Amino acid sequence: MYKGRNVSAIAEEDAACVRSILAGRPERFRELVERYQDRVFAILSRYERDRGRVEDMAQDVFVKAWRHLKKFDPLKAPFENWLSRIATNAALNHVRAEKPFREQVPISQLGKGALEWLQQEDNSAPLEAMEAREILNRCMANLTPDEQLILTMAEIEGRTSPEISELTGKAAGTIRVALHRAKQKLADNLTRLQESL
Amino acid sequence: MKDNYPKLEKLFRAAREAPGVAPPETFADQVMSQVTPSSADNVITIDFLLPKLAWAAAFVMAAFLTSEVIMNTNGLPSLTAGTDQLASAWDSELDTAIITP
Repeated sequence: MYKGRNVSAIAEEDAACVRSILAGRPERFRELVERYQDRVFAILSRYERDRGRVEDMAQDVFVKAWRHLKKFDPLKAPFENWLSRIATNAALNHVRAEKPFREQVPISQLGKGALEWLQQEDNSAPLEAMEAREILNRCMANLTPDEQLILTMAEIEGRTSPEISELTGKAAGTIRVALHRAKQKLADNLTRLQESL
Repeated sequence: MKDNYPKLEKLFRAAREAPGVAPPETFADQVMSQVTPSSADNVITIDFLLPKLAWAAAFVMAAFLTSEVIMNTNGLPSLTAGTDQLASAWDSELDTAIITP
């Protein structure tokens, strides 16, 4: 719908939509939901695979956006970034809540494909996306929630350090250091996981 | 541990391909029903509140009448008499204020 259109024009349209909602036309919030639901689901899907839970989280994100709409300042950031930040916070809270459970998942619960890939010397065999997610989740379990978030945003969502900085509110330098440390820990965990098989 | 970095890259590359969850067609409706209560919801709220308000009003009236009857039976000044007394006191205050500006 918005492909090929000027980004600032979309941002201006979003800002106008927010102004209109705040001026007494709440039904226009639907436009924002329909425009950004894919974006929010894409962010949240990186942290949770269960469809129902992703839906619940996405609803919470939009309800939160609705409640804090007065705080949205188009001069600071476009609506998409502001909403993505809310979704990122929701993802971080989710990772925090899930951490104790993920740490307890035994190796035996990894799927057959994932186990076979890990047991190979050179890991040259193709790996299914879901199996890769399983292995990564297992290896990330003892990383801090912040490290998990930064790693996912950088390596899976493909975001740059300045983008992550904007979404998390942390300095870009801090992000780069945390990312480096998180990758080291992840590599260590992968080695340990392979040795334990 | 750097030996494992190429393996990590393979994991990341594969994980990027994982399909995300798509929003259901009714998602916008679900959100809108949460953020903007519809007029149907308002009717339901009124429907729910009105009987309770009616019962509360009936209870206050019954309590008033009961106390009136009990006070009359025991020869005590009734609530009505008390209200009359207050009203006449208020009237005389008002008269005084008007007469002596």
